[in-house]
Amino acid sequence: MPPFPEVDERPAEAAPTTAAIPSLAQIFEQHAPFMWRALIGLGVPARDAQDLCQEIMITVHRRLPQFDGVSLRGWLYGICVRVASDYRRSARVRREIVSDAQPEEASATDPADTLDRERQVRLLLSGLSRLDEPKRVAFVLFEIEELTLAEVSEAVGAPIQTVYSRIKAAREQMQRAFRAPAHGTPAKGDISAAR
Amino acid sequence: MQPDKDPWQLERLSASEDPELARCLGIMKQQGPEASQLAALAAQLLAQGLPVTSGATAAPLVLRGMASLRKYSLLVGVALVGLGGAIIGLRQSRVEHRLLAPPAAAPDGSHESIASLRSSPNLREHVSPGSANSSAKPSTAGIASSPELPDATREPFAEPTINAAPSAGTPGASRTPTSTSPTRSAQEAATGALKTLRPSPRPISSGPESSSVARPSELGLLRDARLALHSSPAQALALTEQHRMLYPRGAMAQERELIAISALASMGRRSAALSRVAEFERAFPNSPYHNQVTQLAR
Repeated sequence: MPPFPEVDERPAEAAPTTAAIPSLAQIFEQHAPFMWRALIGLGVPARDAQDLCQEIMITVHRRLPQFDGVSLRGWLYGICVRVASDYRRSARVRREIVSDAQPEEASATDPADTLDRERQVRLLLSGLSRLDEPKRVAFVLFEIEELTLAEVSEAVGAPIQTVYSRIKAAREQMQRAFRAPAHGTPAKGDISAAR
Repeated sequence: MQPDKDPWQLERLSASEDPELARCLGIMKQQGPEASQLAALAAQLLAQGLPVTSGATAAPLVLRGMASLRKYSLLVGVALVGLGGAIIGLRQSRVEHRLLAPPAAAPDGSHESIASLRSSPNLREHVSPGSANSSAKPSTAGIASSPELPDATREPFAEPTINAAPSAGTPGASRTPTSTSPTRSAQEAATGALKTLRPSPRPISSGPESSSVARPSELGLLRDARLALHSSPAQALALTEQHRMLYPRGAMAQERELIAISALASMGRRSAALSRVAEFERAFPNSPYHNQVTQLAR
């Protein structure tokens, strides 16, 4: 059995460089916190975000020579989206995500403001979990990570008009969810609805 | 939300459209990892030979704007000092040194220390400056590098495909302007400290399906293999084989092969090592580990 029976890694083509390719250290310093946050928005439990960030950086390290220098954020978030997607597709992890969607108990030492902010974050994540994956990804990258439409398009590998439609649809769905009277109660099966 | 002249231009959701949703989005934008978590991540990556810190790198604008990340450089510095100190007394085989050396020469030589430390079972104590902090939280900050934990208790790891990243040469790239969010840094600076999302206090996956949890993670397998490389190359080789069976399309196939080749070389199985090197170079012609593999084959 050959060591790499199913690995599908194509040789890198010599891509035209249009901008200086940043170093891995620069990418880590400037983008790791945001990719960490994006993972959370994309449905990765906080407890697993560090492991997945590590995986993202390993992938970035390996593929950086192939980066064409055009849209670093689109490229990076594309990796981020794929890693999060693979994570969510894992059956075992899927079960854990469901359990992670249960409301967390507040620490008695947390100030009221912190609790309120955590509640708001949970509300948002609960709403996001009701979106299907393409809409969720587009919404998170555009509204939270503040990527441009072109960058989102690059990250998800879809045309700009498709991304535009997904964001609009996701936005409407989120607004409806926030207007619903019971939207503030994250349910146990929240995440499953997002798959 | 009104499209401008460009029909495919969207403005971001404003408070006037939906105040509560906009508020939640605003709060979410302030979320992020704690400095200690970032430092632990940096230490983990450094321990894998990834040059994620550089003294020559200018302080990033983003980090400058994040008050809570001011400790970041200091914490990473502490991690590096710990790594440097731990090298004393540790012996490294030549093969392992080659294996763990970074792909590119580090300007400060810090990777040499990191490479030495990787064989230490107490890695986490040295590389995780945030460990004291994270011990109070059920974060995964140190799980991946905590050799004392049995595999069954570790976090499961997804099995991504190797070609996970979008191709740098996708057609979309050509129409994608290089852009950054003009509000991003200013917003971060204004909002101040990033606060972490509080990890769930619930224990990890205990239930009727615990049998599937026994599957070791990619990281766990390769860490164990790496740790075994010096003392028992045969065991290291067996672990890489187990990794290959469990994660044939795993994200760390290159790292696995490096360990396997090192193990074969350590065991004196030169022809097998050379054969595997050839396979490696065929499968990963642009691997950042190319030089290390070439050295191992000599």
